[in-house]
Amino acid sequence: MNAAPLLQVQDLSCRLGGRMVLEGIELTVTAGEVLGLIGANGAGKSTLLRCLLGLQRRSSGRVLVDGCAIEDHDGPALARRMAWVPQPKGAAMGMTVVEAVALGRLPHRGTPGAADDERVVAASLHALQLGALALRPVAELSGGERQRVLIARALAQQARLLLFDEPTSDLDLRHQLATLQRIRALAHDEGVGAVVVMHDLALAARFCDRLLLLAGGRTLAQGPWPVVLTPEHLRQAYGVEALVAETHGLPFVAPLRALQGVPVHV
Amino acid sequence: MAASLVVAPPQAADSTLPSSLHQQLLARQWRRIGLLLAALGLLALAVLLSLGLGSGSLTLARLAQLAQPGSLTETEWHVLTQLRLPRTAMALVCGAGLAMAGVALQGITRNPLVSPYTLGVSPAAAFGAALAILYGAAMVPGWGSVITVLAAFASAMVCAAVVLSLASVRSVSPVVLVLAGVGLTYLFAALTASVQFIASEQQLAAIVHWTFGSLNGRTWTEVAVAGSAWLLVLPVILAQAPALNALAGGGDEVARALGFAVTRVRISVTLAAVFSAAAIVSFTGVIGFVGLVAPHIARLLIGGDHRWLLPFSAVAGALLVLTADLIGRLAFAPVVVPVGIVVAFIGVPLFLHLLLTRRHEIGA
Amino acid sequence: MRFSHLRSSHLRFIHLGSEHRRSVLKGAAAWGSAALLPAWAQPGNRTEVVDDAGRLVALSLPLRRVVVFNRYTTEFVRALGAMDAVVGTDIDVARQARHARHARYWPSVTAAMFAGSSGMAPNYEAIVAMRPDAVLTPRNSDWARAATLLAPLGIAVVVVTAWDYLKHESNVELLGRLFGQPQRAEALNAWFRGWRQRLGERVAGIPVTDRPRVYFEEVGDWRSVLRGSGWHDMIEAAGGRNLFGDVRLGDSRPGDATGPNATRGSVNNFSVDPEEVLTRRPDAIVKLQPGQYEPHPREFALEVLQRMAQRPALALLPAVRAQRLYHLSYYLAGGCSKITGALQLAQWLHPQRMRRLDPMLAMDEWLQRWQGVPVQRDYAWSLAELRA
Repeated sequence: MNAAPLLQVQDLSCRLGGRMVLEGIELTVTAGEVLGLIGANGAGKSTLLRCLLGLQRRSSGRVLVDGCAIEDHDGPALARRMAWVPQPKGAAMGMTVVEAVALGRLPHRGTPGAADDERVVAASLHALQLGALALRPVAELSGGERQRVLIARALAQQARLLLFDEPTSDLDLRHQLATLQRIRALAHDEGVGAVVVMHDLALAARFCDRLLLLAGGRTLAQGPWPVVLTPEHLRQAYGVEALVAETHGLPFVAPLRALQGVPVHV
Repeated sequence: MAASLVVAPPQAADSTLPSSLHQQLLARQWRRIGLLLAALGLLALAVLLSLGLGSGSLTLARLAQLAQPGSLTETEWHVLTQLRLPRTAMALVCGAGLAMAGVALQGITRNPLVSPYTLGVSPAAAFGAALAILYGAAMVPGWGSVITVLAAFASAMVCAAVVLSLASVRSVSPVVLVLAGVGLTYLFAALTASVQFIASEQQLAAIVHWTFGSLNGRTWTEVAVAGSAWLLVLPVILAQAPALNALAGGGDEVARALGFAVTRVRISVTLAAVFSAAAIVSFTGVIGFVGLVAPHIARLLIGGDHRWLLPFSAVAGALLVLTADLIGRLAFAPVVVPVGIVVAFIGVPLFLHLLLTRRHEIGA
Repeated sequence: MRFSHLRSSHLRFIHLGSEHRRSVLKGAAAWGSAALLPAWAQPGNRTEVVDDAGRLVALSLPLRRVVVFNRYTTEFVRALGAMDAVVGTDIDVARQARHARHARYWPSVTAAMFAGSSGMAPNYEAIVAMRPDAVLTPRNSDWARAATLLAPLGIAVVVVTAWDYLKHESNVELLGRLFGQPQRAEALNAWFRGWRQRLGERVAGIPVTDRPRVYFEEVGDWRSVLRGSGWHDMIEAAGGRNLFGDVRLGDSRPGDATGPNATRGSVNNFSVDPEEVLTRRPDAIVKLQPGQYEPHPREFALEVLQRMAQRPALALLPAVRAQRLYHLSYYLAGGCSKITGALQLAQWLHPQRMRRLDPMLAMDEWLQRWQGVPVQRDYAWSLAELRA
């Protein structure tokens, strides 16, 4: 496995509409690991993801992909290294599944890798079990199926770094499990580095190698889940009194009650 | 090596798409090719009719004798090369250029109602021409028509500049762009109406005549200029087909995440589209609806992949305008109905029909 | 209170403002008492006239204040010596007053007399403010609506179509009655008849085959005129044949000035297929240019005709090779119901027959005697003259 980190974030800050939405964020992602981004609504998770992709302008700090700042990468070259799986609202409406997945090959046009287009698209469809749906219009699919299309598209980009924005928010229990297992397998078996924004703390703890807890735009805690998911941290980040436990080797988080008068950093 | 980055390493059975899917995709590809060829065939037929029909002795039968040298009289040859050919060529350039501009603009704004007309370019050109006519610039000996054309073009580019500066502002969404275009359309239409109001009867006749586009009496010079403008922007727009696909597939952010410099794409495509549209409309007058309807007809037949959509809509647009001109020429011969009117007569029912039956496919 | 408001009593009144209502009530009272008087003693002495659209209009004659639409009508009014009665004009006339170059053509017209761009778009408020007795407007205008709107205010609308060659005499006679100048009207008609007769004598008996076919192009490229247009009649009177005179659109019949189809589709101006012009092989080509009292410079006319001669559709025509292209100013062509235009055209088409009948004489007389302005030349050119 590659020792050099896929992603490095140094002292990232972002100001939006007069407010410091992110401040002093530092993180690293190496190949084969899954980093979970957690935090309350408005803590800055999606903003952080967009800053990493270069979709949102930072006020300060650096973002390095494969050791090189994102501004120094040529657009398509960056897209060959880093892929985004956004939330599936309104995506690719006028297209069929195979066309939508094939969009992932666009960063490869003009490179020798373009010769593999059909094979990679095929493999991506297969990996997400979309073979039967390949010719259906995306507009006709369910939320979970659309989510899979977007993941397949990201796979087709053949990027080593994948960024997921709440990939389980619209999914039922079964599909949540499948998606997260897939992400973990991608990392552990294929050497992909993944950053996953999550709401569900227990699932995050279970499927991510490390967690980064954001509160009020700042890093509250970072590390393996027992370090991050402590009642004290949850109190500060979510303003709730919560119970954290481990049962059958699986993490378990239960909010007990909301705390009055505790400022939630928003 | 990043090449094998999927869950299961590709095995022989998976290394290509399942055979049925593969075959279906292949079938689609062939279908597209077939459609394009069929459209080109229809276009060739329309060109033939356009060259072979009209008053005078040059009929289709006579045209067939073209292969034998010296079979046509001098007059017939003159009619063919100086009257019918330039008119036909102008119809092709006009239809193809406006349709492609329409596709391009619809792609970058992700809005199906956008066309050179609704972004204000054509009405702006009409206003420029009206101003030239009002101030008698059109009467200047030797340069009159050139001045009118330049005035129309300049006015259209002013409008384009406004549209472009909006397009280049990062925070401006396509919706805002479209609304601004609608506003500009109304503004220039009102300005033109104001000019008409203070024009004398003769000027009024000239202005109204210009407002309804016409292919009557086009010369090779005009065809050359308009055609060159279109050929100049053709490669620019075609090169952006992948970017347009990305934009259609997920919007600005997804396109950016796929490595496209969206703002630059938007500017270059807008510039190319309005430039060619302005150049064409400055000569022919306002021919509306082609830029709106032809892209949709094409999209419903050949799908949304811009690598196919762009050329196919060019063919569809050319076919539409050429047919309209043919009908306008022959229906009430020798009186000519301006092509802009006939295009609306053909285009509106077709458009409404498509809108009502396939609205969910037009998308976004 | 003016008695003109008495006339409103027998016209519909709707949309009255309170001040008008008061005046109308007063008028109604006056009329009520007047109704008891015999007709000859009734105030206002209304006369009924039949206008160009066949309408019966009751007016108090002679008219003292009129708004006139259409330059040709205004010229007739001046020819009858009634220019003082003109209180409002259309943009064509009013605009000229603003430009020093043209101001000497309409010396009595000021910019304040602007009553609307044309008969198609009158400015009703301006008209009302001018307090005219009547509005004169040609039949290719919005006269029906104008009549409806102005009638309640006691302003009559009279349709007079001065550009109609065929109806010259009846129009002039009507104007003579309206302004109390029957003698001058008759004199103008006699003058017109005289020239028309002289012209008719010269072109009489020309067999159809010897009447040259004329491609008559209006202001826009490839726009020609059809039967029903004043220009068509002018061509025929000059002993020529309108190249597109056989084209019929809809039901408009020649001379059908009063029916509902009278101005349908505007026979004045149609796009024609250049190929058709080539096929029909005109013997002469006349280009009409918008023009005013001040004639175009010679270079301008030359440029226009040269460019026309170079058009692909025309270049091969024998008419072009023989330089039978003519440049005609609107102004000359339209003068006095187009008699001046007809004379000039006849001279071009039948130079032998028209010897010693100089169209310029007619134009000179028209300008000096009837319009009271200095003589001008250079309204018409042939390509041969220009190139000489």
